[in-house]
Amino acid sequence: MNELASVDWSRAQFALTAIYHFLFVPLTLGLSFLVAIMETLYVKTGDLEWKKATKFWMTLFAINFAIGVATGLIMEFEFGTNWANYSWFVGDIFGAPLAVEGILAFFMESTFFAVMFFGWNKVSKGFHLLSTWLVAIGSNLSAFWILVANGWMQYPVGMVFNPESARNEMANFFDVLLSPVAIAKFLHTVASGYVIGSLFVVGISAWFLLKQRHLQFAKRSMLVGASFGLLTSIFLTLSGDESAYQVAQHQPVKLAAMEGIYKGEHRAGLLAFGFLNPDKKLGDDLHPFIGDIEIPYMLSFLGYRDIEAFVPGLDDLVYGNPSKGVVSAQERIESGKIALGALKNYREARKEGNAALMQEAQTLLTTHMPNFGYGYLERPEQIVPPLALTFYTFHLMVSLGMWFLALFIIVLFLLMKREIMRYKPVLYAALWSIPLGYIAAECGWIVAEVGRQPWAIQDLMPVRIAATNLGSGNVMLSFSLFAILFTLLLIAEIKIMVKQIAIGPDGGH
Amino acid sequence: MNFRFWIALYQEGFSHLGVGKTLWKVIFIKLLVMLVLFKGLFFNETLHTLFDEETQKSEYVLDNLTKDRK
Repeated sequence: MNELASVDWSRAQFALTAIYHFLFVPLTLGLSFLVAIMETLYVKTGDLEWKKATKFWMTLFAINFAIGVATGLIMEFEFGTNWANYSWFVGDIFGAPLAVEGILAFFMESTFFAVMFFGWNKVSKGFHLLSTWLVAIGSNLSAFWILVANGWMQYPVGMVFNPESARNEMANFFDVLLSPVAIAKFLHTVASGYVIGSLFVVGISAWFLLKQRHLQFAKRSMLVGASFGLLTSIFLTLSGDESAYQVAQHQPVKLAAMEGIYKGEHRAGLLAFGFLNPDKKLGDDLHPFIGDIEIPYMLSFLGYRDIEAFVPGLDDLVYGNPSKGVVSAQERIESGKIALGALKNYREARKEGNAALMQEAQTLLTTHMPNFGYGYLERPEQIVPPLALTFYTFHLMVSLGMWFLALFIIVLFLLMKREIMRYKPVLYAALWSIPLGYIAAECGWIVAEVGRQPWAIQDLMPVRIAATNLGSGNVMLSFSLFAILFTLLLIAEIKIMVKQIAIGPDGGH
Repeated sequence: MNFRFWIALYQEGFSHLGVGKTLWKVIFIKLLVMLVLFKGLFFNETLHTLFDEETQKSEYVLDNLTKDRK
C-alpha cells in the first residue's frame, strides 16, 4: 500500500475531525460565561426577566454541549491508531495534560452541569450561580490543558529525548505548562470562543427583534452579548498580537507564509490586504503580490517589538541568509541527518553492548536533536507550508475579527441610543455574523495547523513520520463514516437549536 | 447534600426533561457509534494492543524512526 496515500487520508481524517469538533467547542466556551453573567444579574437584581433569559440561553448551551460532547474523543482514537509513532514519541508530554483534561471535564463539568441544568429550586440561588460559573470555568480549564498539548507541538520545550525508549520525557512540567506559545494559544483560542458566544447571543437576539418578538428579553440579551463581545474582541486582538509575536519568535516560516514574505527586510510592513502572485516561486525575483496595501514598519514592530528589526522571508529561511544570522534549511537538514545517524549508531552500539559508543552517539544526538525532524526532509523547500491556504485564511481571520469589533461597537451604540429597532440592516448583519464567527475560528486553526506544515512536532517530527502506515482503504472508509456522523450531528444541532429558538424564552427547557 | 440528593437531582431532572430527552438520545446514539463502531472496527489497533512489553513498543517506533527512506 502506498505510504503517502495512507498518510494523506489520516491527515484528512484528523483535519475533518478537528474542524467539526471545533464547531461545537467555541460556543460552549463563550456561551457558558454569558449564561453565568445573566444569572449573576438575576441573583443580584431578583429580576425574573433575567432568570428567563438565563434559562433560555442555558438551554441552547445545553444543546450545543450535549451534541458536541465527546466528539474530541475520536481524535484520541486517531492518535493511537493513525499516529502511533507520534503518540509514542511525545510520551507523557502529551498524555499528562490530556489526562488532567479528561478528569477535570468529567468531574467538574458533569457534576456542576447537573446542578446548573436540573438544580433550579433544588439548591440555593447562590449555589446554583456558583455551579453555573464553575461549568464555565471548568469548560475553559479543559481547553487550557488541550491547548498546552497543542502549544507543545508548536514549540516543544521542557523535555529530553530518550534514545532508549524513543520517547520524549518531561524534564520540567512548568516549562511545558507555562510555555509562552501555549499561554498565548490558550488566551487567543478561548477569546475566539467568547466572541463566537457573543455573536451568537447578539445574532439570535437580532432575529427576535426583526420578528418583533420578546423585545425586552432580546434587547437585554443583546446588551449583555454586545458588551461581552466588545470586551472580548479587544482581548482577542491583544492575544492575537501575542500569538503572532510568539510565531515570529519560534515559527518564522509560518509567519513568512502568513504574510507572504519571500525576501526578508528591516522595517518590514504589515500587509493589510493583498493577492498572491500565482507565478511567484521561491528564489526568483518576481513580486509576491499582484496587488497589496501595506502598513509601513508594522510587521517588524509587531513581530519583534522593534521597527528596525529584520523579518526573515521564505527565501532567507529556505536558502539561508548568513549576514542576518539565518541558518539555511539545508544546514538544518544536514544536522538532522547527523541526529538520525547518531540514533541508529546508538541502537547498534546498544546491541553490541558498547557503552563508550553509546555515550558518543548520545552526545552527538543531543547536540543535533533540535534539528532531528529535518533529517527526514529531502529538499530545503519542503519546510514551506501550503502558502496560499495559510496566507488567505490568516487575512480572512483578521478581517473578520475587525468586523466583529466594529459590529459590537455599532450594536452597543444603537442600543444605548435606543434606536436599534430602526436599523434593520444592522440587525441582519448581526444575524449573519453568527456563521462568520465560526469561519473566523476555523481559519485560525487552519493558520495554526497548516501553517506549521510539514511538522507534526515543530522541527522534531514531520507529519509523514508521525503517521502509522495503515491501509488507506480502511482510513478512507472511516473518514467517510466520520464525515457522515459529524454532518448528521451538525444537522441535529441546527435543527434542535432552531426549534428551541423558535419556541422562545417563554417555552420549556 | 448527600449521595441521595444527587441521585434524586438526576432522577427528577431526567423525568422532567423536554428538549433534554432528544439530547440524551443523540448522546446515546453518538457514543454507541463512536465507542462500538469506530473504536471496535477502525481504531482497535494501537501500540498497546499490538505489544505487551514497553521495550517492544519502543523498538517498533525506533525501527520506524531509523529505517531507510527514499
